Amino acid sequence: MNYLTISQIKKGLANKTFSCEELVNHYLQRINSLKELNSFNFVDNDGALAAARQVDEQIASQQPLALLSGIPAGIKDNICTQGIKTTASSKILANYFAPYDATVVKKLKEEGVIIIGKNNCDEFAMGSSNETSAYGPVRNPWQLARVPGGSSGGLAAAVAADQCVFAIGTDTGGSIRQPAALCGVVGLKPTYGRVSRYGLIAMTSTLDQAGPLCRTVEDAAIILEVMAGEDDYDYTTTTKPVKNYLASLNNSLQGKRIGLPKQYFISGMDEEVAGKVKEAIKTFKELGAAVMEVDLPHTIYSLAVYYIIMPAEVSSNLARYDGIRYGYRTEVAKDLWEVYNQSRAAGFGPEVKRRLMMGTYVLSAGYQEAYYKQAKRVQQIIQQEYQQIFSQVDVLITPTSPTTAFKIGEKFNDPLTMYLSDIYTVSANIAGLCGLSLPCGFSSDNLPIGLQILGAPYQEEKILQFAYQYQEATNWHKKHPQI
Amino acid sequence: MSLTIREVEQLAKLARLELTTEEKERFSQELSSILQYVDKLQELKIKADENLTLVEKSIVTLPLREDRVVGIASAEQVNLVKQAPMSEDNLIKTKPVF
Repeated sequence: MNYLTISQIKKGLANKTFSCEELVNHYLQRINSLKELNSFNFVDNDGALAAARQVDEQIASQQPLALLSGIPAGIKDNICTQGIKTTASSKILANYFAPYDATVVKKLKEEGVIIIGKNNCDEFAMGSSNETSAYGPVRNPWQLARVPGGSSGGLAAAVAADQCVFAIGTDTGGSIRQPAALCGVVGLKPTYGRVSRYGLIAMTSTLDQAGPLCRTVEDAAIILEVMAGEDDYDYTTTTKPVKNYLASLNNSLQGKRIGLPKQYFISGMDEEVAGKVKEAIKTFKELGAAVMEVDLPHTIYSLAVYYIIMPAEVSSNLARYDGIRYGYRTEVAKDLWEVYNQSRAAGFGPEVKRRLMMGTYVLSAGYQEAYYKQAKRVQQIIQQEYQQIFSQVDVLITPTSPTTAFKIGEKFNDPLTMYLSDIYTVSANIAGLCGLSLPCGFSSDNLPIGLQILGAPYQEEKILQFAYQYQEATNWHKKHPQI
Repeated sequence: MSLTIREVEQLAKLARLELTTEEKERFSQELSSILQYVDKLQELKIKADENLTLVEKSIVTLPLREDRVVGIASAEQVNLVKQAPMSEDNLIKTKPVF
């Protein structure tokens, strides 16, 4: 019963090869026996088993099952779930129970998904290594001394170690794709507006987007179809119809065009990463796609744009944690100002504080024009540049991360070096694109390497098709950590 | 671009964050190095408002909801007040302003 995909589980339940209770017990046992990964903040043992028994009763009485009935999934701890704590891995929300389900959670539950627990992540999704979590670092299942990436590190580790079938994360600058690459799984960031953000704990409202981490491209296609769609509670969701993303996976790549942005293939990149990505490009050529180098001169400014716009929005979004309406409140404050200043000082960790300070700076009088407004202008130029490129090519292919998983502690005390981990993923958020990472090989020390496929806005169908065709031509997704 | 301790203190006040002496020193160094990195945007000379008008236009075209109060059920209200660290008679309790 190891490393099952959604379609294998559906078949197994229908043929009574295993019961849903046995299935859920398998994942609970994996979570329990691999506690050292620290991939879950909370596990809903009783709730998951009760839901499983209900599915078994439905099967026994031959009632029709929903699309994802009995499939156990993890939810990132910055996504609201009624009945299970939602802390965003922060001390300031240590005892927070959301009074409602996020729209994505509601949609998954309506299709029968069993929420098995809440995954560890960087505090408020701020980090690239899962080291900023108030619940401690997550370990990479391929090598326990290394980080799983971040901020959806707990999710990537859990999916890679078969502690759940898939997990739902958020991606603001690379937080789904980068950990997917570092743990050897598939991670999909849909286009901003494709999936509702209602119930996601806001970090950067103009960039945040929810998406799946899973083990195959088919699973990503199935989950996206369930998650996507217009939502009355999020006015930035698109009215564009949701597609049957499975339908086009099998279409050939013959005659399709791939762009390789030359700014992404620069010196300083890990040689093994570069080598594996080049091999993958050869595979795409063999599949019939034409490959051309493209020029995106302003994309090198994406990370700088991100480190202005993101903290600016962080500083305003996190103003709500004031110790009054919910969350942690200090006991010792004498007046209201001290309640604010001391509750926030005790509740937030160092990375969150750093970004609050940075955001306050770039929005403060005298600096807003030079920093925030300039960043918004450059963002517009980057968007236009990508728009133009996508009139010439179907997708762009790049590495997902410049390196494989680094050691826990290695970059923790050097924020700027840590920020550079997102150098290849952040443009998709800045330019409003969709992106996917999937495994494309292993380093000589057996660490996964990720390939990133970027598509024009709302072209999820296309990036999933490219990813599936590559996955079927290779065996990387069948390799699992020995744990 | 480098930040002085005084500037860090002023930012902390605006951000409603009490900082220790050690934090102030660390943030003055770290924020300076991050600012130095993002300063590379200044090398791009963009015609003053040509692109920003586009940004502002895109905000105007977003659909807005009707400007009216939507009530909530009293059970939901009780549930929300229960989230507060301190409450009394279904009201949120705070420290005095002065």
